[in-house]
Formats: sequence, structure tokens, C-alpha cells
Amino acid sequence: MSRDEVTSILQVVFRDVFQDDELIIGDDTTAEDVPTWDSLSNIQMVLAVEQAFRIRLTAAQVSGLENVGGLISVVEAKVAAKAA
Amino acid sequence: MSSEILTQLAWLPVGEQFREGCQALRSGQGAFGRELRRIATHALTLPQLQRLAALIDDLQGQGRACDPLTPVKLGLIGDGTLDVLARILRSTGARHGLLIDCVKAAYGQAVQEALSADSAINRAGCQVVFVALDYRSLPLNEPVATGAEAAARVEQSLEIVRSICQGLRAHSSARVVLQTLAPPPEPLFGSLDAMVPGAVANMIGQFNLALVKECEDPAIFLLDTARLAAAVGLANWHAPTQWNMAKLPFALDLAPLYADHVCRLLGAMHGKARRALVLDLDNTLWGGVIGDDGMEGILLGEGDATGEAHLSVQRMALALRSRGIVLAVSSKNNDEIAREPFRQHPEMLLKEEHIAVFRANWDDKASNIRAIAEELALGLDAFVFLDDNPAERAIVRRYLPEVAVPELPEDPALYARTLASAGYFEAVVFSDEDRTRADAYQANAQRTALKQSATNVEDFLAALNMRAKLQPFDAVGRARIAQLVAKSNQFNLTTRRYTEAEVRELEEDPNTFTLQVRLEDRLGDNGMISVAVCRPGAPKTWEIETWLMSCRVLGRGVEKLVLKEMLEEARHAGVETLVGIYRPTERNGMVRDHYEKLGFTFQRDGAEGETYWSLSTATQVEAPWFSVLRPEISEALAAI
Repeated sequence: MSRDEVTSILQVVFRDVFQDDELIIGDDTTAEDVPTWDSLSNIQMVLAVEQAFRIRLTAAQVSGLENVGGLISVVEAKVAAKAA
Repeated sequence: MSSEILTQLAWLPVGEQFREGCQALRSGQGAFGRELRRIATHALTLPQLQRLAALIDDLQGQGRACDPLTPVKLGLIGDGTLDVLARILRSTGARHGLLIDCVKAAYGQAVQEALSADSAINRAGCQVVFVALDYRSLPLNEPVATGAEAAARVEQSLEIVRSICQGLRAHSSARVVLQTLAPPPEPLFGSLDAMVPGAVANMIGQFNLALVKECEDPAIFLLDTARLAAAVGLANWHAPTQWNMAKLPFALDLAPLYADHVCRLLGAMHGKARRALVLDLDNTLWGGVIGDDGMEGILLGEGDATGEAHLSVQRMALALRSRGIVLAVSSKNNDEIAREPFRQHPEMLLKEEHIAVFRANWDDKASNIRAIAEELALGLDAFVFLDDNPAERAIVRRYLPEVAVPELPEDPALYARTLASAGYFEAVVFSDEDRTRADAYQANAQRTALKQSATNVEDFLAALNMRAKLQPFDAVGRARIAQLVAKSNQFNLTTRRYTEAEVRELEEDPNTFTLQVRLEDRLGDNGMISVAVCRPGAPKTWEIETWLMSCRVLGRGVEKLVLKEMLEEARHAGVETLVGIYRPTERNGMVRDHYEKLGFTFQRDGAEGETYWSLSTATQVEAPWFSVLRPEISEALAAI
């Protein structure tokens, strides 16, 4: 799956979980940019990402992320590892 | 895996047009409860439930009424992160007829909030407080060495619950919901955990047993979360990652199910639980179509997997009936054909007598269910409709949105589980009245059906559409006459017993008046229900030697019909007086005043305690609500 494909799926997930149909995510997007992104909706987002891509993310992997770009990279790698 | 039935709330249709529905509701006007409930009655995702909760906030902000939803102020105190649950209780409540306003206690402050008079929870005037404790915040959260220590930990944990309840009782008038604790799936020893008192699982088990006892208090209600967690799997319920990340005491993807269970209990506490189940027949109660496959062709029990599956649906329906849920049938079938399996199929568990209202016809099911509701005098929101056919389900959902219509999976083996999992019939009390309710509804339904336009007893009798067959004694009726004569004790004026030979003699005696009465009415054929014999006594007098009647038809005026017949025949024979005799026995006290009520005049007391009464045969008696058939005469006419 290409980075763009991962990004567009992630966008759908983010819009759903953070209840914002206009939300546009980019590599630099962080929780500060999204009013509804708090610690609780963060967990929901992680679970939704896991479900959408059929991957597992550990707490360490998630807490180490600086921005959405980091998340896209982690997801890309996990999806590729699955396919291998 | 069929735990998906639970985790996906498989009895709810998938939420189609969710966005459009919400938008339409937001830009609409007037009370929003009905449409909100319809939207909520779908299997919504967690984000959808959250959006719906936000919509409810907006609608209330618009100042619109929430009818017909019942507002409930619910306090939520407990352990761990309960914010998500609190939010979606609002939207899930709509599915159960409630508009829930959830007041949350501060994090980890369950005891403090309960005990403090000016806490948010106690000041909010909650009607119900849900105490969602978690084992990790209680003294029984780690294994201990001895049985004595284990018992102490359990008791300390219960004391915490009790002081919460006392605090809430002292500072508010809220009813309290307590939940059993879901134990962790990780074993300490393994199977031995159940036998070692100090193992956490064991202590939780003891705690849960004692908690159930606390719920015997009428103001305290039980939510069996331990059982729900077991049903989905403790390994699914407890998610270590989520607890570690955010102190979530249960896996977030189970939140919609958990919320539904809380709301169905709250619904039951507010009288919203369903009370009647309407069953389809073909491919629901048996495999196949009775009209096409016939009795030999339908699949029911008998070691056939599909047959066994449908039998399990019947078993569940019977179990529901035994706890007071009323059963009805709505089937697209010819009535006689639809009833045949109930009457004749050896594997049928459900019989006609279990069904309060049986409607098999070719009309649409929505109309039939409406008629069933009227006959049972229950609102449409008391009903659940079970039908394997998605088209029928869609129609009933469309025209009768108040009726609960569960989605069913493809495999009939899962029908019973899906129906049960929906929790439509949740109850918070089980009384003797519940046990006998189904029978009471049955009897009532029949009476109501007949009383629909009746304003007085005569109209009621007329509506029974009674058709009486009057004949003298004959060979065909002999056995039944002999039986009635031998066995009637209560409505029997003289308790004169005849042998069958004597009955035969009476058939042939031209000087005796004999009468057998058969009665059919709207409810069915009652068969032979009355017998009378009159013999000449003094000149121009007939003595009523025998007059008996089945108690099944008391209060219908059959006595008047019989008397009318006697008088007509007597006049015809030139008789001027009818003499009635009452011989009292231990069993026939009910007819002591029978002749007086019919207008006879008391004549004298007899030597053995009997009484004699007389009536002029000129007396006119009316029995207008019977239509009378005299087969003897019609046969004679037919022979001409």
C-alpha cells in the first residue's frame, strides 16, 4: 500500500473518530490542531486505525509519535510487514 | 464467532442513511423523540453513537420537546475512565425510550461523591445512580494467603458498596444500580483458583454473590456485568493495552453493548420493557412452508439440524411465556392449515393454547399486529415481532416503528440466541402475577375480542353468535347423554341417573319430552351442553324430571332457551303447567334458586328436602341471542 493510500484511509478514520467532516490531515498535523483530539479520543483513533488496517499498535509505538506523519510511517511499515 | 451477535448488536439493523437521518432531524421541528428512537434503533458504531449524543444536545438546545422519550437523570460513579460510556448512554438510551442526562462523578471519587451531601452527583437530583465499580480499585484486587484474609477483603469491598449506597440514600432520592465485577481472565493457579479462597477470581465470585443479596433492597437494582463480560469472553472484556493507556475498565469496542445493557435495565425500571412476542410461522417456528410442504414436509425436531434449530425457537417462546410474556402468531397462511402443526405435529412444543391471539390470513402483517395489539389491549411499544423474512421485517419496521423487530442471521440455529441477546423483555421483578399473566391475557383477549362493540350483557351474548341445535334423544346422542347424566353434579336439578338402557327407553317413549342441546359459538364448538327430560304427572302437567347443564356455558342464557323449548312443546301437547323439582345435594347448591329465577312459583317442600315449583305454560320466554337449528325437522324436510 502506498503512503498516499494509507493517508487517505487514515483521513476517513480521523474524520469519523474526531467527528469533523472537514478535517484534512497532513504529515505535520498534531493533536493540538484538532479540538476533539484528547487522550480518550486518541485511544479510539488508535483502535479504529488498528481495525481499518488490520494491524496491531503497542502503547509504546503510539506514545512515541510526534505527529500524523509518524503515524502514517508506522502504519505503512506494519502493512508492508504483513504482506511480506 | 457467535460472540459477534453480542459485540455487533446483531439484532439491530445496520445504520443506513445515518447522516441523512441526523441532518433531517436537526433541521426539523417539534418533538424529536420518535425519530430519534428510530435512528438509535440501529447497530451504530462508537463514533456514530457519539455523534448522536451531540445531536441530542443540539436538539435540546433548540428547545424542542423530547416526547415520547422519558427523561432520566442518571448519575454515574465508579472506577476507571467512564467518559465514553457516559456519552453514549445518552444516545443508546433513545433506543430504549429514554432521554438520559448523564451526570459524571469526578474521576476515582465514587465513595467521596456518594458520601458528600454537596457533591455534583447528590446535588444534581439524579433519579438513578449507576455505581460502576471495578475490581482493581477494591481491596480484593490482589491475591491473599489465607481464607480469613480473603473473607475480610471481600467484606471490606462490600462495605465500600454499602457506604456508597447509604451515602446516596442519605443525600438523594435516587434508585441505585450496582454491577457485579468482571473477573480478570488470567489464572493464578489455574482451575485451583476456584478452590483457593485467596485467589482474586474466587474473592470476586464471593463478592458477586453477596452483591446480589444487597440488590434485594427494593431501591437497589442489579446489572450483571460479570455475566455480560463472560458472555463476550473475559479475554475480550479486559483489554490490558487500553487499561494501561487510559484506565479503561473494559475494551472500548464493547462500549455500545455495555451501554445497551445499562439502558435496557434503565428501560425496565421505567416500564419500557416489552411484554408480548408475535411469531411468524413458516421458517421461523418450523423449517419450510406448511402450505406447500405439508405436515410431513416441514422440518421440526426429529434429529434434523434445521428442525432442531426451529424447535429451539419454540422452546424459547415457551420459556418466555412461562415468565409472563404473551405469545401471538401472525402468519401469511390459510388459518386451518396454519393451525394443523399446533394440533397434530408430534414435535410441536407450542400448542394453540399457548397462543393468546392467532392470526393466519393473507392480510399484511402490520395490520395483523395492530389488530393483535388491540385484542390484547397492549400498546404497540409492548411488542416484539420475530420473522425470518427480511421483507416482512422491513414492512413492519416501516409502518409500526414502535414494534421491536430483531434482525435475524441466516442460520436458524442462532435465531433463539439473537432474540434473547436483544434483551427486549428485561425485567426487574418477577411476581406470581407474571407467572400467570399469559393465561390471563389469553382469556382477556377472547373476551375483549367479543366485547368490542358490546355495551351490555345482551350485546355481548349476541356477539357470541351462539347457534344451538335442539333435538329429542336419539341413538347418535345416546352415549354423550348417558355421560352427561352420569357425571353432571353441579348444574343438575334432580341428579337423576339413568343407565344407557334407560336412556334408550326414553328415546322411544312418545309420552316423554326429551331434549339434548348442542351449542356452537364464535369461540368454537362446545358440543352437547344440556339435557332435559319431562314426564306427564298430574293431568295437564309435566314434571321436569331431569334438567342439567355443563358449567362451561353458565351465564349465557341457555336455561331460558331450554325453558322456551319446554314451554312450546308443552303447549303443543296441551299441557298447562310445568312443575320443576329441585333435589338438593352436596354439589348442586348453585341451582337452588334456578326455578325462582326463571319465574316459577314455589309450591311446596317435599318429604326428602326437595322443593316443588310451578309455571304456567302460557308464559312467554325469549332467548333472542340464540339461533336455533332443529336437525330432525330439517332432515324431514330434506327427505320430502
